[in-house]
Amino acid sequence: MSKARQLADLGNQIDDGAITGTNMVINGAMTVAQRSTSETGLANGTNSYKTVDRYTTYISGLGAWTQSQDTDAPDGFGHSLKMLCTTADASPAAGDRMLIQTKIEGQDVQSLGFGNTANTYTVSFYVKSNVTGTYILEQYGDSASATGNNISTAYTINAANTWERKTITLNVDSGAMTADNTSGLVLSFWLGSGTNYTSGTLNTSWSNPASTDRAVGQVNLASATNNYWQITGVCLNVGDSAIDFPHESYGDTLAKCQRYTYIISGAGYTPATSSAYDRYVMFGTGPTTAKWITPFPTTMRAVPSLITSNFTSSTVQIYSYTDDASKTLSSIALAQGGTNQQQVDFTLSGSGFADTITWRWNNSPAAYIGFDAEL
Amino acid sequence: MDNMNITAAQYNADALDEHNTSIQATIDGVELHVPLDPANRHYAEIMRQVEAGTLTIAEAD
Repeated sequence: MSKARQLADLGNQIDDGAITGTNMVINGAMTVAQRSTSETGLANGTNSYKTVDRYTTYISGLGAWTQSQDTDAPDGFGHSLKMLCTTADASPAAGDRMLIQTKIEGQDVQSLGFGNTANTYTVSFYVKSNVTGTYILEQYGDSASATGNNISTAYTINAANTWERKTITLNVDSGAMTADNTSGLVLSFWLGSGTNYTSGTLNTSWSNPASTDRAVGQVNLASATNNYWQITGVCLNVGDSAIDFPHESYGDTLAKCQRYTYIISGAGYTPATSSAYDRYVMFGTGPTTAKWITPFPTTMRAVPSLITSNFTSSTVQIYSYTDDASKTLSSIALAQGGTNQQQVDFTLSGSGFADTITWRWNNSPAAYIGFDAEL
Repeated sequence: MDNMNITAAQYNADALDEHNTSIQATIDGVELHVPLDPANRHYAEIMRQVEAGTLTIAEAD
């Protein structure tokens, strides 16, 4: 085969998307939602991860919202993250704002070459809303040795209720990014803001801007009930053009997400005697105490917090093999642990000392227990 | 970037030697048990609010 033929074939492979780069954004296709697939009543004070993994929500005063992992998505995707306005705020106070953020560790963005302003990278995503107009993507170099600068880029949703792909290419900041497990690069999708963030001139170069320059032109998605904004296919790659979105299996994405959050969900568990169930082994340390030492499926980013939802005596069954009897959950507490496993202390009621005890879900669709080492 | 809404913070202590092992708190409406590790974002924010005088951690029961 001639060199010309080989080059032509290579070009075709690139055109077909068969050769792609690395996406530094985890869960860009919104496939994994370990905590929940829908959360209602998100309003002032929300500042945490709610549904789709790796995307955190910040709301200060701007209406009320339902966030969901939605199955409406552009061709080639199965899911999107959706924000639906359930209480409007047509006249935001000056300090109001709402952001959806995803954060990448500093050690995972080294190939962007922060510190050499000749280097470029590209952010691309699919977006859909009933509210057309200008939206802001703000990026923040959140690393100790970087300059800690922000840069804001406006993008336009041109057609209502239509999936559109947006591409934003930037030169990197002059400050180097620390190669560690702390927050490196933060992508912030603004969805509304008061004048504290919009009354200046949009900050379109890496700098430490006045607050008034951060989201100039941003439409107010909270202007009316039932307004919505959806996003999927979020990708960040080296270079000055967007790669075709590198799809990956659910299992691969889940494994990446579990570095930040590991959830054992009670969803899908009807009464334990009527369906398949997992059983988690503990060892007794006294008549009313037991320790659950649980390994994580992957090394977590940092020592995680223990998080629970509806983890109670009515959603959890505890059984002692030693004395062939049930016990009742009173409370749990995080004891000791690291990034590979943690020890959870159970306090129980019920008679008799038990060496070997297990817990399992019992008719607990809205319950979970998990570990959170998010950025 | 922004404050977490933290309430009902209290130390958990080991039943045997009674040293503090974690902090139980409600953060943004979710009950958490936070390790005493500065790399943990919840612990870092709890300590920031304690130093700012806006949060107090109750002793273990």
